[in-house]
Amino acid sequence: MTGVGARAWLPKSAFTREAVEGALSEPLQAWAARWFARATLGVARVDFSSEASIAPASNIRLTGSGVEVELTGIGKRHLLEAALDADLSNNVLTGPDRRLLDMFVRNVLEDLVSQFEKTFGPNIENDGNRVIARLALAGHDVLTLHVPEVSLIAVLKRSKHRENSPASTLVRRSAALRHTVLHAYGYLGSTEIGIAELEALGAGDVLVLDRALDENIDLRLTDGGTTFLRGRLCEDAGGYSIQL
Amino acid sequence: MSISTMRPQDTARTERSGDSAKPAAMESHILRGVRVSLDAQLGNASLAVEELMALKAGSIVTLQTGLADPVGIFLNDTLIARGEIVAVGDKYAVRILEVASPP
Repeated sequence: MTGVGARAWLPKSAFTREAVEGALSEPLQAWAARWFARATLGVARVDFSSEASIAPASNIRLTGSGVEVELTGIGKRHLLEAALDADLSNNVLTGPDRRLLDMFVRNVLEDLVSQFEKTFGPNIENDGNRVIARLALAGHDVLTLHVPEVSLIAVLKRSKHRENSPASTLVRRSAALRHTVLHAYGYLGSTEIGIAELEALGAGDVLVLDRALDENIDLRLTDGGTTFLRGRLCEDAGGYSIQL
Repeated sequence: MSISTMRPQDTARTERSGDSAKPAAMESHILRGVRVSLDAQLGNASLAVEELMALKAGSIVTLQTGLADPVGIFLNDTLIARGEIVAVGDKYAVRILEVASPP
């Protein structure tokens, strides 16, 4: 059974901050573990948008795997402070310093995009609906992620499914069939006669069947007539039985 | 029988016996050479799928029928007669005990 033209969908209420954070945790935690020794990373806020963001020219933007990463000027400073584990507010930065740090920040963000590509794959079909997750590092809003809704729906549905139907409550189809009762009959044999003989058939007539006495007889399903086992006809005080 | 050779008494007989008389005779004539297959069925058994899966060579499936119970003779899955198992030479056979009465 396959859905034709079906599109994954979840109501907006399913995209809680906790749910989105959980769905993004794999790439985000891998990224944070690589670049930030002490700072804690989390999703501070979740919004929605169906339009492309318009970022000021000063922002850094990177795209990959359908995810768009946007870093503002103040976010860049917080990110650097978290990565370098230092306070930059009192430092005077020269032009070459800034260029070097910008290159470093780009590397950090490229790694974030690369982590998303590992999780979501390189070519996510973007249907225009986006979830905007604002990431906080050490308590400061640092950057904004525009994630295609479809990427998150797949992950959220998987986790929802695991919550709602733990494997222990499911029964395998073969196990569910175990108690199904099959009705069968013993098939002794058959014979062919003409219509005229059939019309004349009466008590005392003998129909000779096509089975020899030493031949096995069939056990057939009442529904469909399929032979599912053959055996020797046995008699005892209780009646007839078939020994396989 | 053509219309030109039909006599008044024939017409009266046809009317009395209804429309079925002529077709029945025709059917009987047409079907005389047709052969049909009769199946002999001996008792029933009910078993769960798990019992079925557990069967192996030597297992015994008991049929819900006594030794004195008759065998059913089926024509196209319809019971038309009952009989008892006998042997004719080295073959199984069924001696008819009762036949369903004609309609």
